[in-house]
Amino acid sequence: MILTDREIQAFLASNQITIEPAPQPGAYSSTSVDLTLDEPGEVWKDLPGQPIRPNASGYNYASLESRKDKVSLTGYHFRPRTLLLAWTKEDIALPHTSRIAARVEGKSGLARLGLLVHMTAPTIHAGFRGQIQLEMCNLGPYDIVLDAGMTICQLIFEITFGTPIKGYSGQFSGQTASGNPTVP
Amino acid sequence: MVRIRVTHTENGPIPSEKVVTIPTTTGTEEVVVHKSQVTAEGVEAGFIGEEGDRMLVELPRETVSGRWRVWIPKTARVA
Repeated sequence: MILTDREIQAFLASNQITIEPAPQPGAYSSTSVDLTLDEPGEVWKDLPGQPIRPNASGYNYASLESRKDKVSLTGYHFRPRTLLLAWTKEDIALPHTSRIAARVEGKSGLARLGLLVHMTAPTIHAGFRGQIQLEMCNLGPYDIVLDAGMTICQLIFEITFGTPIKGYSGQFSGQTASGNPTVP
Repeated sequence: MVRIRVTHTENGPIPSEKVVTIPTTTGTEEVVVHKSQVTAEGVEAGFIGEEGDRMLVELPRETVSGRWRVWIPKTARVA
């Protein structure tokens, strides 16, 4: 079930969802809340002849970060057919005890310019905490000028069916009907 | 929830994040997490199951290598 604006605000009021900074009243639609673009972003350096091999030993965070540059997203000219990594300004928390997950989706007005904000599964899992990272791509014909603070995506919240395994802590954790710990 | 010992912590790509390295039964894994999820004792994780001297945990986010759940030695659990 998708939460309506009333329910999103009720969940926020009871800290079953947290969004910091809190969304402005105009950020809501009937079933979503808008999030904004934070500073800075990251772009991949142009390093021809240096492929990335995710399955190689030694593939690690440091080796990836050395291939990226930080960029200011105020007045940033997002060129066609390029990739930009960015984050929402808002820090989101979905405690798994709240039984809430979310989807991050783009904004239609920006999509019509060619702006994608994510490429893969849009799911923000139950238990997530943090600023949402966006994998942005400009598929349009023109530079799109971005400004930190602009509305960049929206969140749609959904109630999960049940609580994840990790949400069961304490004496029953890992037990099955047979009494043997289970490994799914 | 459990807490896992980290062998290395460094700043993440943004101020609210940290990159932690945790020991697994096959080596190590790196994961970018929210700074609130890391303490001096370690990083929080979800307990999924156990088998012998190893434990299956779910990390707060997908690791750099693309895993959510990893096997860790039980000795890596600190809480």
